[in-house]
Amino acid sequence: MENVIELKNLTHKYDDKLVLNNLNLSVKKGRIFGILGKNGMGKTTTINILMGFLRPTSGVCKVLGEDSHNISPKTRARIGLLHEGHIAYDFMTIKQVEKFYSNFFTTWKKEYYYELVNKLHLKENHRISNMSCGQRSQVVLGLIFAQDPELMILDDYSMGLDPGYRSLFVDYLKEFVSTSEKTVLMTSHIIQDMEKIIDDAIIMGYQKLLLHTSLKNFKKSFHCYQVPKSSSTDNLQTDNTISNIETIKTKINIYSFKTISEIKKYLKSKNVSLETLKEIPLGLEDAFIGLTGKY
Amino acid sequence: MLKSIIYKEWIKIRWAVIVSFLVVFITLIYVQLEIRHYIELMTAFSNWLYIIQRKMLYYEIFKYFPLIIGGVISILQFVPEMSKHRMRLSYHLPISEKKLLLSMTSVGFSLLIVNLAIIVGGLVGISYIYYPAEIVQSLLITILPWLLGGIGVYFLTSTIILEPSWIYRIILMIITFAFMKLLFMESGYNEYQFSIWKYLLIIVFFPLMVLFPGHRFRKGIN
Repeated sequence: MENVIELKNLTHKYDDKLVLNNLNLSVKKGRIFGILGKNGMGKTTTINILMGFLRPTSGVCKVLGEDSHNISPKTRARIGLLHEGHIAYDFMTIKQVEKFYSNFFTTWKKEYYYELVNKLHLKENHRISNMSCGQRSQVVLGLIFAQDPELMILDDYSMGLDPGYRSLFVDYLKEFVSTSEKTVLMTSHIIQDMEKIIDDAIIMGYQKLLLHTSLKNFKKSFHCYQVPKSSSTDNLQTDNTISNIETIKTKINIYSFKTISEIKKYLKSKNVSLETLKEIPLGLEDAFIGLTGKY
Repeated sequence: MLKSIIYKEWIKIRWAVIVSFLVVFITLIYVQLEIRHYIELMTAFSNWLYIIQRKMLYYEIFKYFPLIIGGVISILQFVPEMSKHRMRLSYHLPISEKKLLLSMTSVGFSLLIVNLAIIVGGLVGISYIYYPAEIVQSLLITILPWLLGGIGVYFLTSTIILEPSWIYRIILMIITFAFMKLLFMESGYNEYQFSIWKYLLIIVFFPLMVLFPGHRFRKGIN
């Protein structure tokens, strides 16, 4: 299967501040790929490089086979972009914005746009600037659907959306993607929504990639073990076995990809009492926070 | 595609263009009434004394019109594009950034030219009614720097707004201010008669200036 997006040793610095350090990833055709990570880990920088608005310090970033900072107009027509904050031409109305975009794309599907926008029950001459963030998100998504692109890059689609609009957005996106072989790369802070839709994900940490897997795999293989705080637990540190440690008053939460038997063996070697060791069930969001840390 | 770009630009500037047409028409009527007022109430002789001996430009009210119209059209076209990074939407359209920017500025420039043509046509028409051909000829030479100022300020303001770097913006602002200061120094007739071609030569290159910030923005050089 061909790679629609390919990042090789991608590095980016803002002056002396290193944000991306040798990032490697590829997104295969027809996959829905999520970029997860806390704020400041380089998600927006990666998206800006992918969109061609930032030239990386070094490394290669290819989108549909072309350098991201030099994408031809013809290839741009095959990419649908959703910018953070659902940026739109606010000075236009529902009808005007559709009329404007329709001339740029040979495969324009007006009905996709109006199917989504009609749900807002707004008049065609309603200005985008007078819409709520949720309503604007529907207009923007409608325009991307009407463009019928091969690749969609959606930067923080959930920003400013209430649960209703978030759910509507995800449902429509899922439906749209399932009916055609589209590739999607998206970022969001709402892990539960991402879980519903994405096939593969990367989790970005400070200057490094923490994980590159499917969310299902991550949820299945990542664990949280709890032991009482003691003098021996004070010596525990993150390493190849322990991904993260969290102290909550008298208890220690140990996050790890290891199985319970492996962790028992490991803790025994560190003289940690195993009497009250228990595994805490993790939701995806807890697992994400467990891996990336709260701070 | 060009049709769509014209459509979007028109949506942004239509009210400013309509208002500027109205203001220009009203001011032309005012100038005509003022000339008639001078001739009828103060006699043609004293009117002649004022405009020839005292170098009173009877159309001086229009001096900063091209500058204001050029600046306003540019602001209304490009500030909405640059706020909230909206220009990214335009730069992602399947059209080269050169074509895009030249098409956008062509729309603003064309409407500015129509406005300037109404000013020139109106003034020439009014002047022909009351004054000899020599006065009309000198009017054209006298207002040419003002018209060039309007065109120059349109392209320079557009470049300043499109420019993502504040250092370059400040440099461009200084250049704009200095250039306009030079173009608006006259206080009598035909003062730029022998130097205006130099300004004209410089202004010919201004439309190309908007391409540089666009190129850097799209290629992610900043």
